[in-house]
Amino acid sequence: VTAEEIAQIVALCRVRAGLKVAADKTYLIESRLAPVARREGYDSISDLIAAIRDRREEPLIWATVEAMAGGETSFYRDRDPFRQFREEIVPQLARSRAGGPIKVWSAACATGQEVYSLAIGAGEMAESDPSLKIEFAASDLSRAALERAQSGLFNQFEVQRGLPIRQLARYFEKDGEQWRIAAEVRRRVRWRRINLIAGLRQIGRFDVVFCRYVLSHMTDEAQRKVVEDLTFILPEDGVLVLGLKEQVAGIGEAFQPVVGRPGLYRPNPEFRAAAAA
Amino acid sequence: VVVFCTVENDLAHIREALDAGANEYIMKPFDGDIISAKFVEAGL
Repeated sequence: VTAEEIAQIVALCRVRAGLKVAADKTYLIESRLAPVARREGYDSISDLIAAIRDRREEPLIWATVEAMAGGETSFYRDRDPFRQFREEIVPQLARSRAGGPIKVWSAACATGQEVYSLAIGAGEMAESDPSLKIEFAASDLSRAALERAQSGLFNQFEVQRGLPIRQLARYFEKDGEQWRIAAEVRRRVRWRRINLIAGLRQIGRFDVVFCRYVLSHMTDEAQRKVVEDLTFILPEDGVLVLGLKEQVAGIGEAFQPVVGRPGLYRPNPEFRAAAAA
Repeated sequence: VVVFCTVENDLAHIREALDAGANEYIMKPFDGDIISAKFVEAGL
């Protein structure tokens, strides 16, 4: 792959999805795009890039951008945010919502491990408090990731990364060589493809947004846009959850960190008022 | 603390191990990161 072709991919990812793709990570670009080229019937990545340039076909462009957006995920990644969700965030919101639903959005859900970890916890909380209503929405840029997430199928490596064995035994069934999460957990999640830079202010209100390890892979400009939009969909007592040590442009103005809880933020009402004006 | 490391990867064996007091259960093929994480999960 030539430097010029790499530059085309970098620009495409930036414009379409706000992604920050490092031009010097040739191996990453090649490993992500080789399967796309094969699947779409091209002999090489160079042929794929030439087709994008010459034909400007939207499905091909998005297949390429979505492949570059793929990130890493696992059940209960970082542990603490999931414990805080159960023990602190949900109880606080449940008190102020007085029986109304708590709406949770996994904003870059990849293959679903994050939102399923949350949904399992919500189901267990509802066992001791049947009045508790928690609704989950999950989105990703990648259609392929969303399809996998919705299928609820995980391989043996994936179910052993972070998932306690008691939860595997209780919530999963063997499906050939894979493991399928129970329908009772899958039913708790609504799925939707969302491009985070396409504007979020009209997607509805959410009380908790998990947006972990996605913004740091975006350009500063895209980070600021998404962060600003997120202040409009979260109420004042809502919570934004970022990655534990994630540095995000604009977060300090738009949100206030929750003291002693790395990665957790609440909207800054003054910022939202100024942005809306 | 009891951690099973085994080639058996079906639910019946997992449930049997849990009933027998297992804290965690690791299935082949083994992966160093997973073994470390499971040991932490088991409280080791």
